[in-house]
Amino acid sequence: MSKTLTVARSEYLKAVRSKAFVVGVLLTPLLFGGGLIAMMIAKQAVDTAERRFVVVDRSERLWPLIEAGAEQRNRVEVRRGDELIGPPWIAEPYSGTAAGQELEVELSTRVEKGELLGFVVLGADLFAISPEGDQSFTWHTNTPTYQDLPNWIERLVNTEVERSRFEQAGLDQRQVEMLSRHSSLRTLGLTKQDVHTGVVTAAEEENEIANLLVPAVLGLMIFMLVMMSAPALMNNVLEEKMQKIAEVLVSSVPPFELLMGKLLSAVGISLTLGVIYVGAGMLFVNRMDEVPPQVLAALGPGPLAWFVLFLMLALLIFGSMFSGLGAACSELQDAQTMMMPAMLLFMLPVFFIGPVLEDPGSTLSTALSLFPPFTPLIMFLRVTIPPGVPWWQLALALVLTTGFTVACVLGAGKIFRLGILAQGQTPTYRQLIGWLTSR
Amino acid sequence: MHAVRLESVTRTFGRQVAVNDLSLSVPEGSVYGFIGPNGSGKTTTLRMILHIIHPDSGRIEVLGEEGTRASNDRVGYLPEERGLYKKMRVRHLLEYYGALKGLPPREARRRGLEWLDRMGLGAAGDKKIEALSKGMAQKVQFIATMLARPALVILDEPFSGLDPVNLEVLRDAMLELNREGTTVIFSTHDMSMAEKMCDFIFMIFNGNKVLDGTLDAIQTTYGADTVRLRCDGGAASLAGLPAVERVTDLGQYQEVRLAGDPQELLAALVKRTRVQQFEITRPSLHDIFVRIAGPAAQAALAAPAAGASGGRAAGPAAKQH
Repeated sequence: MSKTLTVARSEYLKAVRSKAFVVGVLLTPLLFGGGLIAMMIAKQAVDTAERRFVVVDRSERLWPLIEAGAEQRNRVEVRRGDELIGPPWIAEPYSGTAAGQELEVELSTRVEKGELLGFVVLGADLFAISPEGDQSFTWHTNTPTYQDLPNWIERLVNTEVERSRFEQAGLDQRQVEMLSRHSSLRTLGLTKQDVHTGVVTAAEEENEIANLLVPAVLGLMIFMLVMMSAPALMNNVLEEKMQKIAEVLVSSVPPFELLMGKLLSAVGISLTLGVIYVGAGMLFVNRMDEVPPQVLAALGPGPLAWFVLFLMLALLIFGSMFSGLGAACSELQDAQTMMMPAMLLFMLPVFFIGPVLEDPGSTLSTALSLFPPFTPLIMFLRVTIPPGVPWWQLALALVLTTGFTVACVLGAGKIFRLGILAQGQTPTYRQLIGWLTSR
Repeated sequence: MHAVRLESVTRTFGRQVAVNDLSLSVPEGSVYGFIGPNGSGKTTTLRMILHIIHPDSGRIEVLGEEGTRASNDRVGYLPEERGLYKKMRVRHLLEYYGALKGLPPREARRRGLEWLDRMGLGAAGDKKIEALSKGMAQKVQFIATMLARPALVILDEPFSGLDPVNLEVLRDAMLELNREGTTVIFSTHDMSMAEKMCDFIFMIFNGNKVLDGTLDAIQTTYGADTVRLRCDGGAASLAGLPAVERVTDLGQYQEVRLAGDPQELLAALVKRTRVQQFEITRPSLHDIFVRIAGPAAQAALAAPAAGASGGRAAGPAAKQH
């Protein structure tokens, strides 16, 4: 046992002292959250080039409104002092004589030349109550992805047209709005009554961040931490084998103790990373002004204990699988090919996060959470999302997963013992099964 | 007392018999040389002594412990191919390898620095292994083997790739350890080194023990059938002479294996050329090795009818070459 700890200590220190660890601590969350951050940064980047568009107002009532609206927006929303903080929209009325398709061709040519972003055509009968006549309301552009301007025009025109129609119908618009207002549905938890005192606790409003976001982030963190440690174990074992270090090690440490030392170091490294990431997250949450109590509860000791337990189980399962594969192979290329099934088994549950979050109590979620290789991630989500998991399912999952973990570690230990000094051709899966069943 | 005792040990890999019914006793405090061609079973035997691999049958006792790894902390092992972490600093590596042998980290560090000084590597403690020359790395590996003051050291090809200076440093360190009571087992392809250093020599060929004893006893078994001579004309002068079984041309002199009377050879030679040196002697270990495992033996093994046995030193298989 002491040698297991010696191996674990050395492997742990070797890993956390390396530059790769420091870079990894910073880089991995960036890679995982990089897309999101890049999108946020891109959104904040301001393009202040003016957007010019032509208004073909056949209704002869909307142009002044659009012109005034655009000017006001340019004055109030696009400028902060002398500085532009957004693209000014420059509206111009169509002043030509063309009509129909001839007009559209003329303006389309200007769009293609880059003089205009686009042009809007407002039908002559847009204000009519009955949907007849020229009701055209079209936006022509070769930049359809730029939605801010057409959306603004749509809102502005519809508001004015609705107001006019109410007026024509002799209705008070404010009264119509009052009568037709929507009621939003609030999602609350359950009302609870203390069985002893009879005191009733009112239902609290559910918090999506606490219910979905925090468990999903912690679940993905389990995935991320295992991803950082388990495949690295394969490289570590393979490197020791290829550089003949393994022979020195197994002359001092029994192969199984060596494997256990490596697994323990992986657990230690992942827990260190977990403490860094979760700690940083909690620090961030604590510095926020108003944190809903549900969010604090979602980051409380209970969920974190499940996080640690399922993280350890996942590490032992996949760490032993990858270590065994590393010991069985003699070439990096062979190892990469052989790791594919294990990698698939590891990646698959991530694709089920969506359905599980949506309905954690469904048959699919239950079945997935009881399949040992998927249990660490899926059961963690189910445990931490309301309404939780029946105790028997949790107990069954823990028994199955613990059994599977022990089988993985023992199997990997056997492959490790037989493979670590074997040279030459990498065994096939059939041969590996033969190793598992050999004496 | 014996440091190592093997009794009827057999180990196979698939259909290949790597070690066949091997019995061997290594006395405590001795220097025991393992020789044999590549792939003959030396490393398998050494690994079985270390319990890295287990025999299919037979008994193995190491430092009084039978069939367990209990003695491994008292055994130092230097494998044939060096196994060092390239990215690790020398002192960290020694501390780790020492701790794996049961030394407290601080003690491992202290002894590591002491050994580095002794081997002329005092300034290398903070260097990474990848920054060391091959000879320096080999010394570091040797230090790692010796750190826990083992009662038995097993060195697989300790001298391969070393320059004469480093070779001498390593050899002196091995002999000093032996003087202090450590039993030394080492495998080598350098026959002259085995002749000079070993109290006992063991040769394995195709998994079978073919030699085991002191150099003197082994040479006596083969008799005084060798003539070492130097003459004008060199090896060409020996062509067609009677009773000459084999000529080994060593450049400055020739070694001749005779099947007849040396006096007859001398008389015939004097008629042909001027003889500068003529010495009747016992065969060298190199010669014995070649007799047992030379091309003729290899060819015989390759032929199915030849069977698996390489024969004993004094046996017919050895004498037929």
